[in-house]
Amino acid sequence: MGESLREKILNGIGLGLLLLCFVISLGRIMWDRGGNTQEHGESVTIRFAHWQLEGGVREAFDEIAAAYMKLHPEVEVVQIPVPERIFQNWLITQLVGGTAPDIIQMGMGLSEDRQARFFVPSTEVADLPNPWNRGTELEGVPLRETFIDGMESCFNNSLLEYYGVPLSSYTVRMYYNLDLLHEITGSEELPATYGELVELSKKVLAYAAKSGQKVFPIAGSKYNSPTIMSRLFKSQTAGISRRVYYGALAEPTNFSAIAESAANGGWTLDDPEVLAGLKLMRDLGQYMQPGFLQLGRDDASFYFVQGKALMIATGSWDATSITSQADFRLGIGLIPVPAPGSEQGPYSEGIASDASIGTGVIMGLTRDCEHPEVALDFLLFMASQPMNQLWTDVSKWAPSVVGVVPDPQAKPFQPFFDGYLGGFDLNLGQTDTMRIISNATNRLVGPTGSVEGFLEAIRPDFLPAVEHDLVRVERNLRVSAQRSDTTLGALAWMALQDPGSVRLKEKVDLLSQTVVAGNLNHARTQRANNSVRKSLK
Amino acid sequence: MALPITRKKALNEWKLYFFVIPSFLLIAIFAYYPTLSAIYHSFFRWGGGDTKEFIGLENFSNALGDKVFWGGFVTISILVVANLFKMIPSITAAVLIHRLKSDRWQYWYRVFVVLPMIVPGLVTLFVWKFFFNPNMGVLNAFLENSGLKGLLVAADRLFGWGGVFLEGVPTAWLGEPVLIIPALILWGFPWIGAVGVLIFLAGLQSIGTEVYEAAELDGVTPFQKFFHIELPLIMTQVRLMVVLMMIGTLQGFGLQFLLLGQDGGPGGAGMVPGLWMFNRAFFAGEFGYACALGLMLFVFILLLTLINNKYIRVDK
Repeated sequence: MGESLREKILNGIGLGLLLLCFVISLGRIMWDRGGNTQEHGESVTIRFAHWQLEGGVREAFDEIAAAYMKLHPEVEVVQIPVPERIFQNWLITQLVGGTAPDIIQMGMGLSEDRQARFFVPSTEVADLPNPWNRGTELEGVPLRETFIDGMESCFNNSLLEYYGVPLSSYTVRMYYNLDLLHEITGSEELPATYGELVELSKKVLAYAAKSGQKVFPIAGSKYNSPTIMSRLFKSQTAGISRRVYYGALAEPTNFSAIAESAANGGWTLDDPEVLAGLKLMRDLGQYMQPGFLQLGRDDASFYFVQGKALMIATGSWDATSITSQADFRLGIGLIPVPAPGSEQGPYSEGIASDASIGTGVIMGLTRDCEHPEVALDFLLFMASQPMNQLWTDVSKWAPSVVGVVPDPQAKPFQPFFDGYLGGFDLNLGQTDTMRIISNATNRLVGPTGSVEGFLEAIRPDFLPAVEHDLVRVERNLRVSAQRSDTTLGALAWMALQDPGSVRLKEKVDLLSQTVVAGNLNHARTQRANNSVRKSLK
Repeated sequence: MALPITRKKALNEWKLYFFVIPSFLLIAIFAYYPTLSAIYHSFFRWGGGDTKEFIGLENFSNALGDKVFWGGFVTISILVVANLFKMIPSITAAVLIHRLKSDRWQYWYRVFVVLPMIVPGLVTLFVWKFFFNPNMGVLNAFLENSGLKGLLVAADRLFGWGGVFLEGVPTAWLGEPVLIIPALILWGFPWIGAVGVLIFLAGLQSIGTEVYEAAELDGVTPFQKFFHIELPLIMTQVRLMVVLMMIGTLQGFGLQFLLLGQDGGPGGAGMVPGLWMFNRAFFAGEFGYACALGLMLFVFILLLTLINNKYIRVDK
């Protein structure tokens, strides 16, 4: 049966609408994928992403963005808060897919090669004054010197470049429920050493047994516990780190140096320092609530703010959330480590320093950014003294810029630069080694755990995991070095074409240093890898 | 059976092909392109960026010796077997609803079964995570208050389970390697899945009333009715659910990731192939290797599905 005219028109309209929707959808996707910044007429959109979902931070970012947009009505600044749990996956997908925002918080999930490949170094601007500091005491001061750590946290030892700018300084501290502390001990004195912490924990357990209340000394979780356990372990391994530390560019906990030394017998899992560190971790685990290894960060915070634990070890980033939820007075203290020569930690050198922590919330410019000059301007705006003051006032987080007065709440979190640097952590900060250690931690701190049981669990897999990590790091360094080689070649050719250009010459010099350092690091990692491989045979 | 159309008619109705294009394009982009890309990248050492190095079959040979990957298959096999048994409550629920005499109550029970589907899966997972909380969770509270904890402690001592159940110490269901698989099996109790119930119910409703009438005349018991009439006649649906369950269990890792983290929890006891693939891609940055793992997993699922289709036959 033939179609009537009416049916033909209706079908035509249907088909037309379908095609229109399809084309619009396709166009929209292509438009969005076209760049991370969208221009709508005269306006430019700058997007920045971070994982700091703690109380006050998003508000602080919003206020800074609003202040910038007030000065630049043609710019729209969009904040993208990404939950910490998925940040790493999100970041990799965005970077690889070419849809990354203009500015991203650096650190989590950002390997060296990804940093080199996807982020713009801030080395050039580090030596120039921040224009947004005009009219302040920092006017004319090179950007690098406007930060309390001289931008050390932004410097990549292997790539010899600065990446991003820091907005805050964060430290890890022990939080105390002062009301409960007073109720249990009759005093509000915080423990200064690990020995005192143990004594206090025993008092809490005795109090819980006597009163019948379910109170634990320390609120633990798989997120919080490593912060304090790692600090204790590192307090014992500083000597080993110094022994195996070599090379002017290597930091005391350089992965390849520690790994190579492990392969060559420079240190072993049975060294007294390692055993002492593990024993400290085991002992401390007994003062956390049972089953803490299966709990997350929120669970531990919940325990603490509910008054079910006297202490919690966490960073300054949790201060605002905890303060707003706790209906008791808070005490903040340094993480206690064993006193030098003490029975619990014979290899301890003294109070742990925050020097290795430095500044944080480092925001970096991505290479895919369509309007780098606008994004950089906003980045510098965020890092200026007035905006950093606004940051600390609203977020209550410690500032990163010189001369900024920290909010009273942020004062106990100001970095403590005296004291001693710790050694290496047993997980060596690498993916597979961390997995091996994390999977066996229950054998160390569980109700029936022991140092021997833990070592028995990790011994067969430890060096193979280190080798696997070394292979990955070495490969990434090689790719990174190859990329720099290409860029260096191009720059050198350009410099030859334009011999009078001082800027090009400077760039070639700087990149040459980067390439040399990268190749050195690569060679060192390769050597470490060979050593580990040989020892495994 | 659809009749073949003539060439003339096919050409005459050319406009209709426009309606197929969007679906075809979407399937090509979102289903076939990623699959083909994964096959291609499995032959490369690839970190997810534009730099990759052809390494032939190295990723596959590494995967063959990857004890975490193969260890994951042991875990997943246990879960597949457990999930087979976990289908029983859904079948039972479907039969009970089907046998209700009142249409109105049948309707309401169907609504009750379907209602939880509106709760996002992630929320359900979080609720279960809280159930397993050692100090505040419902599971430990139930065991303590019902006195079952004492029995478990005694059994632990008797059978030497390694002190996972201790008097006065809350049980860490997700913190002890030997308890992780039981916890993953326990998840979802009482295991009445809405989709399963609806599919079984559809199968049951297609059974003619004359079959029931004849059975009643023969004086069959309710159990005989189930084993000799209902179960054989819904075997098509059961087989479909078995295939879907196997594919879902083998591919899935969301449950393990959310409850235990990317490393599969203590001892890596909850590590499954899908989670390991995810771990390699997004935590180790070994995307090429993850593609190879994904392909091996695909082959494994394909083989199981073929075996299922070939050997698990439904006699009507």
